Amino acid sequence: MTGVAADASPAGRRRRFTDRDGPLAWAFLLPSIVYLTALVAVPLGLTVAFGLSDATAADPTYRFAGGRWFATVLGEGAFWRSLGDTLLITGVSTVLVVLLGQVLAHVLLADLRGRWLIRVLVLLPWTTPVALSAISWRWLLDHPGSPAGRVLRAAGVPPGDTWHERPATAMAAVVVVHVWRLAPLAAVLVMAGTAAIPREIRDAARVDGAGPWRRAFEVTIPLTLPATTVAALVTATVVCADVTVVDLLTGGGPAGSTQTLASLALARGADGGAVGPGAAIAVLSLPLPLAGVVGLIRVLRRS
Amino acid sequence: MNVTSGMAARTAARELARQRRRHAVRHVLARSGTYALAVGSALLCAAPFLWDVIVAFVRRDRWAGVEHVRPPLRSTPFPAFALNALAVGALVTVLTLLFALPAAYALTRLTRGWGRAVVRAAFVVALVPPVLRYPPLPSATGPFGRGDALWSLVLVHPVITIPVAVWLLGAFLRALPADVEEQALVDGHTRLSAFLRVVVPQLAPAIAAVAVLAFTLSAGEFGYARVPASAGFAHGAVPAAAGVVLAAAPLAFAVGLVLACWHRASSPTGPARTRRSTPNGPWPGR
Repeated sequence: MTGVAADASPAGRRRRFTDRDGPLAWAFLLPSIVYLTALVAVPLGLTVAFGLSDATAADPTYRFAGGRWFATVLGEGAFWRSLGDTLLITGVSTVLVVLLGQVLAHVLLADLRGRWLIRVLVLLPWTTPVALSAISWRWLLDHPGSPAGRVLRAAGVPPGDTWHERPATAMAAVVVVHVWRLAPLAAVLVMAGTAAIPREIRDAARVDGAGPWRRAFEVTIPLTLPATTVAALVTATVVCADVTVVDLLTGGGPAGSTQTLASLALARGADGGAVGPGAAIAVLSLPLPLAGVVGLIRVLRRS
Repeated sequence: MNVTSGMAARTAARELARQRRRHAVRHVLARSGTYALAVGSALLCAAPFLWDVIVAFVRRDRWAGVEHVRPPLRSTPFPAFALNALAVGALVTVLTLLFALPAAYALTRLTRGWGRAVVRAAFVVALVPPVLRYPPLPSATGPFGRGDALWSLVLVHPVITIPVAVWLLGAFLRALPADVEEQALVDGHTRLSAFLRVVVPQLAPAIAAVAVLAFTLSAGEFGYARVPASAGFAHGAVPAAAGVVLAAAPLAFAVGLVLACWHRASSPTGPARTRRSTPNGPWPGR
């Protein structure tokens, strides 16, 4: 009824630009589209261009160098080692985030006293800027008297030795911070999926005599599978492209053993001044996160 | 006969009491398990920040007061850092809302098929790897000179905040019934003025939530500030535990605010929904 009236009324007067939905939609959308495209395409183009150039920090004049840097980078051990580290950190973090995300989603949904406080605290890692939390984790791990310091010593790290001088503990720290930071996000996504399960289904399972475990494994988990897949893909995409955590927590060390492709690109290009190789590594690291994004879009389109 | 039925009733009652007890015990165990899990995960999630608080205010097992808070305020240009973050954050928030509000409206109300493709593209943009969004170039070769570092931050931060804002505002808009603005159209408003005078005021709580979120995203962004080397210290690095505590408290509050608004907008029984879903009785006759 309203729709008919809305269609009929403008016919009586001249339709101005501000009243025509099609052009107005473009006018509303174009600024954002242009802004985003420009500010994503320009740096991306610059990266590719510098990957094909001879420019360095000392001598930024542009000379075309062809695919030389790509060949150099692909022949380096550091590149393949960083690729392996990226895959390792991403894989382990994703599995742990999915598991802990389920637990946290349960906590967020539970009907508890003081639920708001628990929600705020649980979501704190996700909402705090990554840089702040990475620095905070560093302090927590560095201080021998802190709970984390005690855990490290119990795990066999001698007190004089610091965690970021050993590849294994440095790697574990990177994974821990990623998991800690992204599990709340996964929990929120899974929570939304759980809340979307129709009440009747859960009630029916309960009436049919399914216990809590059976309800979890045969109702909740299968029905939240799309949300869980989304959480896993978002985690994998964010982790494998992340620079900040590695940069601030370990700086890629000890001896490059926690360097991911993204942080290696930054270390070589921005900090090391080797613009060409840095940009080449950045371009070569693109397929991994891109695969995550494409997978994410496919999952979202299906559901 | 009477005796046996009495005995049967007594055993039945005893059985019932036993089962009730068992259920009560199980209930208490389940509840305390949930509470333990909740408290444990809350402590674990807050652990680094709790440690910051302890480090900031405790010295060798005694309360140190503000003794540790003063040095970062005195010996570093902390006020300048804070001012930078505030100024950049405020400008980015304004830019984000200016771009995202119309875009979100167009995507939820004005477009049919192709709007989805745009949303999908924005999604890809939001997830573009950060290394590629700020190329690994030293500041000398970057597009902006050193003096304009803060302005370059104002320019680039909306790349992160606009997609998020469009997505959130779109979700809020879908929860608003379209009837109200259609009434405005019937009453002779153009689409533009209906958007400005009807939709935007209705979205006020959502706009507040998105503004807070955009501000925190901008103030917390580190990568862009780090890469042009000069801006790194001006914006990103806050050098003391006290700084982290100062930053974390308003953030926690902001999150609560966003969640509350989100909850109110998305819950079908919320006050916003019940108030607006009343049928628009006398209007269609006009």
